[in-house]
Amino acid sequence: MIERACLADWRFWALLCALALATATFVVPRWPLQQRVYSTLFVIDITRSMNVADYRVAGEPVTRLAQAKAAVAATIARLPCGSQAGLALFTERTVNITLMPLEVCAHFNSLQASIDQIDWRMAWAADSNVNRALVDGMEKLRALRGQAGIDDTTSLVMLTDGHEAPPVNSRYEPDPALLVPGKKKDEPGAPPADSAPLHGLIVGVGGYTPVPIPKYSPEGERIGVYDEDDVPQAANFGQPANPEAIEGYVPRNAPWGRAAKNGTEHLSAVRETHLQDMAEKADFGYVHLDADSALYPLITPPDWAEIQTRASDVRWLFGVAALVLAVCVPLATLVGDLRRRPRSARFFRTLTQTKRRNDR
Amino acid sequence: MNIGVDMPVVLLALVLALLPWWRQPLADSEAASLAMLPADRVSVLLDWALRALASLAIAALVFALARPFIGAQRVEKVARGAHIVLTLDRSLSMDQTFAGRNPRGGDASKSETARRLLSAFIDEREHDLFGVVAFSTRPMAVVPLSDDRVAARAAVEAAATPGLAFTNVAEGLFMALSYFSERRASASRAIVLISDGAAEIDFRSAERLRAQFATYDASLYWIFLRTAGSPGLFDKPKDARNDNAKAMPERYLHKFFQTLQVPYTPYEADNPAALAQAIADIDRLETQPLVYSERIPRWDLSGWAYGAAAVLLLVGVFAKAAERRLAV
Repeated sequence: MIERACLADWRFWALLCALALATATFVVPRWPLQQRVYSTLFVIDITRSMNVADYRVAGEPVTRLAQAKAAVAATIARLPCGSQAGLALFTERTVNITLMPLEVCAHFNSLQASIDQIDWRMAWAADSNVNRALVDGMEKLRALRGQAGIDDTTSLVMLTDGHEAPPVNSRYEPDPALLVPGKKKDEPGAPPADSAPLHGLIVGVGGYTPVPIPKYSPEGERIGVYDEDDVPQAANFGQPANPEAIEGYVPRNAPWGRAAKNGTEHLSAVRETHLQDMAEKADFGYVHLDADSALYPLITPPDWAEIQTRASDVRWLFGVAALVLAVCVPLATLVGDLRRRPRSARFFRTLTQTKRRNDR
Repeated sequence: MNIGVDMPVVLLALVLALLPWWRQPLADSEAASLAMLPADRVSVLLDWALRALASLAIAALVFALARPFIGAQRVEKVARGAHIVLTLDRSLSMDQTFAGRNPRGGDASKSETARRLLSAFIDEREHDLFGVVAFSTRPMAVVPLSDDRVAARAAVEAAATPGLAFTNVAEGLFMALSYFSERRASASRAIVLISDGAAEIDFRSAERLRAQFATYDASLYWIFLRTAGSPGLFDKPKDARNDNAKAMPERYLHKFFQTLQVPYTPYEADNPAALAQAIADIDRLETQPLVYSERIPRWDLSGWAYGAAAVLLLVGVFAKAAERRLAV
């Protein structure tokens, strides 16, 4: 007697479902899923103090600039697809955007190649005023919102050692807090309190021990280090904020005192307190770049993200389900067999039964 | 052709493909013993085939989950096009209008006009490789020569942001020429220099430029964004005493470019329409046949793996449906 057993057999249904799921990967390969994407403008300091090689990677000295470039490259590589990254250079007192934000996956090669090419010799001027550059970067990002890949969520990540050269007169420095919505309401020029905040991170680059800054010829050969006499040791611009503190102060003839200035401006270490102070004013985060620190978690907090609905590959969901079902069928046999009795015993029983039957 | 998988760890699950080889998951038969049945070659073959089928289906699913792909390849193609390095002036004066004042209301600055037209130029020239150099006092290599035209556009867009400092044409050109050093000579090469002014080129740089232009055989297009009232490329000074490179750097740079051993075309664009004309001319001229390699993005194979799994499962379902209970 032959009967149709399959409809009563769960294994048939399991296989049929697995088949349906495998087919479903062609029917709905993509499904719009909500995803967090980020937009970031990376500003890299290319002033001379960034040539100090006070990082060590695998025992080899690495310059601050190389370390900063590597950190940016690694961070961009980790950003989820759909995120955007732009590049900018800082020297003098300006943030010069070289590459407007680009989608990080499709333009991975271009972004990495562009980072590779960044060199201290691109600096169009030799000054270094970090605070003004921060303000300039914040102003530019706000002004460019809505243009060429920059939007309300574009954040500013500035990698710098914080070395101001020549030393600044704090009296004339712009206050980054002026550009934070709602922080200085009554000041003229402050953005409206309800405008989108500008998120950002200042990354302190460099070691904590002051070390000499290498000096290069125009041809790029190293010709020693900056000496104490090579750089201005103290601010001498404008009127001092606190004349009483200056030795030998003469209002007209020597507003910065008569004494020769000694100091350590020719040595460079990361100016952490200065950078932290700036970051606090600008409502930015601050982190020190260690040899192995990852910037990625710091520039991807949930509130910096833009929620984007992207058609994502969901075939793996069907695939996993189909695999589970397809594996269940032989697995059940295996488990059943193991549970019933060892194979040898069953084999033995079969043998004896056969023998008995034959004897009969 | 190189085949790879995105998630190699998943391949460990291929072990699961061994499961069907344990025992056929068939319906229990009422035959007391297999030994009662005569050995049958067809049955043995069928048994093996069904096991292989199940095993392959599981393997195909695991393989699909590991996201297999055929790696990116480069394919040589012939097209009409060129290797073009856009060399953009980022000096402060580029922020002004053609009338030489700061833009007001609807005015377009020179950099903004250049940005708009160059973006359109990049979009139109599908088979060209573009590289971008920005220069002010120092040259900045922004995007290397590549087929990523979106990146070239992003660099051109960025060059419309406020300018930096002075105009150092020679350094910008050196950087642009260096882009050709790694590229094969099959393409026609062009440097498009966009600037609104010039500066004296010193003797040593001039000699080096001459040598390098000859080496790389790169033609040069100079789109000179002339500001109203400023001296042009072809103007002769009224006073002979002003006929020197310090007083009229544009005229002297133009004269120097003419002595290069490569095709050189100057354009004096003193309004947005003239700039558009210059770009249209370049568009027409740089259409030499070009052998270039196009990168085919990697090709996802998981669809094929899912397809294979589906076919195998289909056969499996039929096999299961064809199963008959044998009653003795």
